[in-house]
Order: sequence, then structure tokens, then C-alpha cells
Amino acid sequence: MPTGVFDIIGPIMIGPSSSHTAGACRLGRLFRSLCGGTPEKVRFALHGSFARTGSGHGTDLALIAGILGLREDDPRVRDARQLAESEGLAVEFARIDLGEDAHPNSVEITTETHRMIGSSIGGGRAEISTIDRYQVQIDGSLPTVFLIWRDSPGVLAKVAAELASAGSNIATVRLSRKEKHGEAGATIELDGLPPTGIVERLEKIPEVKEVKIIEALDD
Amino acid sequence: MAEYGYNNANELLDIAAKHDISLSRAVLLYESETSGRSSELLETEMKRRLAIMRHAVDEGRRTQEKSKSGLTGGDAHRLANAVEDRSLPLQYDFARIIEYALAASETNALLGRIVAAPTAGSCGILPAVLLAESERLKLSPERQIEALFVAAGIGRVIALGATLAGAEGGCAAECGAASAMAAAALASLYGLDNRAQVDAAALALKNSLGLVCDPVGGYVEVPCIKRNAIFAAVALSATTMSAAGVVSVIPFDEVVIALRQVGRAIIPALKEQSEGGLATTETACRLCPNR
Repeated sequence: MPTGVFDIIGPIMIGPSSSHTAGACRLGRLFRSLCGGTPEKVRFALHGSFARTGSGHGTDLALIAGILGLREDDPRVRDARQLAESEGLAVEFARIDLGEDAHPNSVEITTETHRMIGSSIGGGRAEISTIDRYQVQIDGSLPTVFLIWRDSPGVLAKVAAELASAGSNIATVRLSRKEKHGEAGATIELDGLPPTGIVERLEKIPEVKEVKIIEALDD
Repeated sequence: MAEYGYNNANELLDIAAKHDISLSRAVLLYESETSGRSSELLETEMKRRLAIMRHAVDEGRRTQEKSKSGLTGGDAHRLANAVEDRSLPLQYDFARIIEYALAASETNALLGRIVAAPTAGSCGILPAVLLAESERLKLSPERQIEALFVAAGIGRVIALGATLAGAEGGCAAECGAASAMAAAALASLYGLDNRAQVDAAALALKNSLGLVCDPVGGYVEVPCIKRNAIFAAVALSATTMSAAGVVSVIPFDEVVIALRQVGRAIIPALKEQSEGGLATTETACRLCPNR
């Protein structure tokens, strides 16, 4: 686990629980970034301990707050439900069983167009493990580009070249696919902010079907 | 390895001795090295966190609001009244520490803003000891910030050698760790030498091994809130002994190893699952029937 001075004396957060509140808020924020803003309707399906502790830990409030773009130390987290109403965000909660191997603090978040499974892994940290049908590992520590492309030789090279020519340095790459020559999902973490216009440039690559930027959670 | 790098207390003590600096300074310099941020920037950020701790205490002392679960609320206020009253034969400086620990923890339970130190469930311990004693001894914010860096170093050593998660190590990983951090911070405030600061941490941590995490209803309230007060007192005990020259028979790094081992031996039902201990008592079941 991160052991820097401000990981130990921190995070600054709204209570009561690093994993059930702060981590949940960060999951909401990651999903909001994936959606490109506040969606109109969102459904949260809670798994395991997240489901059992229900509203007592403020998990529901924290998830909603994150979707609305609030940070985990924002006192308005408490009023997340009212804020959602006033911003026209429709919220639904359900329970889900993601299986034995899923982290006990996990949630599936869905809108009409997006789906994400993420976990609150402790100490206020959050991690996305699935986007749509693809396995990923995104924790918001670095700006991340998520792409879906048609799996064939050279696509990764084209994407990497595009990023390089825009002056962006790649920190990590992770690929996942359902079957060979089908579709692949890629997560690419960048060392700095994604260059302006990079989404459009990447979308121009013929094999690339979708490009999303997930912003880093901390400045 | 970085010039000020340390992975355990012995290494931290060695680095500090080699450069003839305090533990606090060693921790600060390592953070500066690894983060690329200047000492000044780091101290400014730590000052901000100290202010949020102060605010969490102040909010908690004033409020009588009950938590959403209805299980807790208003106890810091009771202590504040008792301390103000002076009608009981209490040790008032001590009672102030108890008051502050309850206060920050209650702010946490009320979805207020707190600083996890090292976790939200244990967020009352370090602030209580630090703030109450700094008030009593009239110590500057700079001294308090110095003390916070020591606390961070102790926390890092525990994280590396064991864990800071109750779900893995039981409550010793949270309240025990916070108590050790608070003991070392207090020792720094008292002006004790580097060894005495680490010994204070060892004395505190040792006396939390095997502590279970069995929160009633799964809420971070019972016994968590009052436990913060109890473990603030543990820190005070530890540092009082260390100040007088009492040494921990088992060195800090070995206590951390013991924490890891004992933590693993605790059954999962008693590690943040509310499936045993206090969480399954008759009263707990009556108060929290949905669990």
C-alpha cells in the first residue's frame, strides 16, 4: 500500500469509512469521468460488504457524490441525494453477487451506455476492474486512456505512435480481449495530461471503435 | 536506495543518527526525496491537515447530534461539559484528551470531514493526543507539524512490516497503529530523543496485539468511537513511561512482525465482518436487527 506521509496522515475525507465512503466516492468519480460528465440516470449494484453495510456507511451517498463530481472531502457528500435530485440525476440501487473472487467492497455501475465494475480496496483507494466487457486495472493515479479496438496486428503501434507524436509519455499499457481478432480493450496510463485533441486523433485510426479519457483523481 | 530511505524503525533511527537529525526531519527529507516536493511545501500541506484535525475536534465537541444509526453521538459534548464543570474529581488534562478523541471520532460517524490517521476508524487518536497536549504545554504549530511527521514515519513502518487495515490485521492495525503513531508524536512534542520516540511507539503497539475488529452493525461507531478515547490513553501511558526512561523490552520492529503474525491468526469473522464478538451480542443484535 502507498506509504507516503500523506497516505498515512490522510486521506482528508468525509467519514465514516475509508473503504465504504472515501473509496466509494472515488469510484463514482472514476465512472463520471468515463461518462464524460454527470449522466441522466445511473444504477448502482452493490456486492458483498458494500451491499451489507448499506446506507450506514454512507456508501450510497458517497457513490452519488462521486458521480456528481464531488471530491471525497467535500462536506456536500452528506447531501448527495438532494443534490442529485436538484441536478436531475436519477439514481437506482440494487444488490448483485459478483462471485467469490470479487473484492468484498465492489459495485457495478451502469448507465444506458456505460458499465463499470470497481472496488474500494482500502485506505480510500478505488480501482476499476471492468469497463463494459473488458478487464482493466484503473486506479485514477494517472490520466488514463481507455480504448476499444478491432484486434489486429499493428493497432497498438498506431495508437502508441499517435500518443508519441503528440508528446505524451506512456506509463503503463494493459490489453484485454474476448477472443483473437475480435475486439480488444486497452488501458493506457499517461505520465501527464492527455494532449488536446488526442481523442479525435485516436478515433481517426480505422480499427479504433471507442476512446475515453479517465482523468486522474488527484491534482 | 534514496539517501534517507528507511523500511523499518531501525533503519529510520540509523538514518537520523547518521545525519544527526531528528526522526521528524528524516521522515520529512525522505518524503521530499521521493515526492520531489520541497520541505516547505510538505510542511504547508501537513499544516493544512493539522487544521482539519483541529476542525474535526471542534465540530465534535459542540454537537449533540446522533449518528444515522442512532447508536452514538453527543459523548464528546458530555466530556466537554464535565471538563468545563469541574465538579467531578477528574484529572482534567487527561479528560481533555478523552474529549478530543471522542470528538474527532464522532465527527467521522456524522459524515463530517476528518483526516484518516491512519484510518477513518482511528481518526480520533492522534489528533486528541497532539492537540490536547500542545494546548496544555502551549506548543507552536511548528512543533505539532514536526510531531506529525514522526507519526507518519511510524505509520509507514507499520504499513510496510504488517498492515494498516483492520480487515487484515484486526484493530491493532488501526487503533493500535494510531496509538503508536500518537505515542511517538507525543514523545517528539515532549522533546524526547529519537530512541525514546520509537520506544513509546513500541509500548503502545504491543498493547493492542490481538485486538479484534467487531463493529456493532458494521458501523464505525461501537466500540470504535470510545475505543479511540481508550487508545489515546494508551499512547499517553506509553509516552509517559518512555519519558521516564522506560524501554520497550521487545523492539518496535519486532512488535510490528508480531502484529503481522497475530493479525493473520485472527479469524476473519473477527476482522471487520461484524460476525463475532461485540457485533453478535444480544444487545447488538437487538439494536441492529438487519445485520
